[in-house]
Amino acid sequence: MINFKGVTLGYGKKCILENLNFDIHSNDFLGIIGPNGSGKTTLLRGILGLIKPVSGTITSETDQNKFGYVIQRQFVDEVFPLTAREIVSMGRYRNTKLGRRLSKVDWKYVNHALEIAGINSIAHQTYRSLSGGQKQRVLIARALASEANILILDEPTNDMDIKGETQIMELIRKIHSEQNVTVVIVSHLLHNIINYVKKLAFITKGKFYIHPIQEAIKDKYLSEVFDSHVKVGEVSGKKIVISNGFAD
Amino acid sequence: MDLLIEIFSERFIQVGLAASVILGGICAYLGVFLILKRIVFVGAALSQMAAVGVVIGHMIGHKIGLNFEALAFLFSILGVLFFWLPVSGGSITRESLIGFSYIFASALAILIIAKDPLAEVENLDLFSGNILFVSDFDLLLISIISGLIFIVHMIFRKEFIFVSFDLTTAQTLKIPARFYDFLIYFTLGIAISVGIRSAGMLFIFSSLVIPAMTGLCLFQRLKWIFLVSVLSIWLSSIIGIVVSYWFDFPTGPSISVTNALILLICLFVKRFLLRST
Repeated sequence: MINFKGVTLGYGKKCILENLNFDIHSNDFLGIIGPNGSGKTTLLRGILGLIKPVSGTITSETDQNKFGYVIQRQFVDEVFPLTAREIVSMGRYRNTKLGRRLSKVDWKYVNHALEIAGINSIAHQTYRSLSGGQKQRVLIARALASEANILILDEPTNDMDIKGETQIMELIRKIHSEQNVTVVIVSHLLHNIINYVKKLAFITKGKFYIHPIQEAIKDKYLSEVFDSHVKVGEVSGKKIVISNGFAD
Repeated sequence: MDLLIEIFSERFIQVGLAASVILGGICAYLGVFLILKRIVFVGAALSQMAAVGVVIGHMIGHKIGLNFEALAFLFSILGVLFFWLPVSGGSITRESLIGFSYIFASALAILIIAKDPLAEVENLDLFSGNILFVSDFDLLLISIISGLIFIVHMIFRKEFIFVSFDLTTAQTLKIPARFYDFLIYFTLGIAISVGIRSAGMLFIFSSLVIPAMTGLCLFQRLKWIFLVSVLSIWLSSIIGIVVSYWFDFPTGPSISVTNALILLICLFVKRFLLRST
């Protein structure tokens, strides 16, 4: 679906990520991990085509790839008096002509997206009156309403409690498996996504590594990547990440 | 009632009211975007930049073959481009650039006026304006430009709301988001430049800010906010003109004060009366 070949990403003369070589395939569930400021959002902007590579090539099947971008919740300005339904309907704007209202077909997509995200009951409430988890569902529903086949999520569980985190991640898993949507999810916390993704990519110190999940979560490898003792254990069939915060 | 009939039967009052309703209405509509996009002071800075265009036009316009409106438009569009282009990195924020533009344009206008004796006399008009002395040509110009701005906003309404709310996501949907964002700024610049000489900075800026605040104070749905915003400036225009006629006050400030009083009443009603029910 998307191929990165020797790609360097940055802004102006400033290079953020260098020599990226990887593919995103149909039905992938890719997690991208990295500390704050490591370049995760820059990588997403590269995948979305919002920034052009400084060097190298990004090949995207433009006629087939439909991106559904889920922006960080914190970047959405709550001053706008919009309802959840109005925001979800924005996902249909690329399909509607100028000066025209959404068609019945568009509203079907909107209602379906609201249903998948489990927010039908709050559709007519204003966005700012919703909880963090509900707001995140609205933004995910908007991406679904756009008929996306690649869902790109930027820190979707930021500032959420454990219950909220799990609910959002379960929703993303459900969308991935039931709607056959390719998922690329960015997080700065490994434990948030370790039980969900099929592939893991790490961005650390300007370098990029990508592996299938089973290879990526080996203790020795993780300790090297995070420069700290990291251990992956298992409790009730779920993987947990433990770090003592110290390097050798 | 007889007094109202007497006031509004005057030709210059009719023209002034029409200009106030049309120009105020379009500014009140645009003001909702100004507040929701959190760029209120872009409105102030653009007004000041348009004013520089007017004073330059007054001083040397005839020498270079450009009139007030053309220079006000030119300076507004320069301002629009300046504020629309993204600020990249560094410690100079967009807010500080807006502040800089406002101060620079204000100071420049004062300096130019100081060297133009005729402009010095008209300085007060630039600030408070005199909407009752709008010419028929000005009214026609205001009507055409405001009508065009309104049509553009009706055609791109949903797109303008989307890019104002979430520009990045709009870009990912292959919508020409930056172009729509520019159009919002552009229409704002045109409205300001066309109104600044006849209505004055005070009327323009207060019409951009206060009615939208009234709408946002009373309603939580955008269509009602736009409607109340426009209705409140229309009401302010009628009351303001009557008050200015009755008490011999300058018209622009009378409308602005009425505008502000309507907002204060709405805030009071919402805060104390609606909450208790």
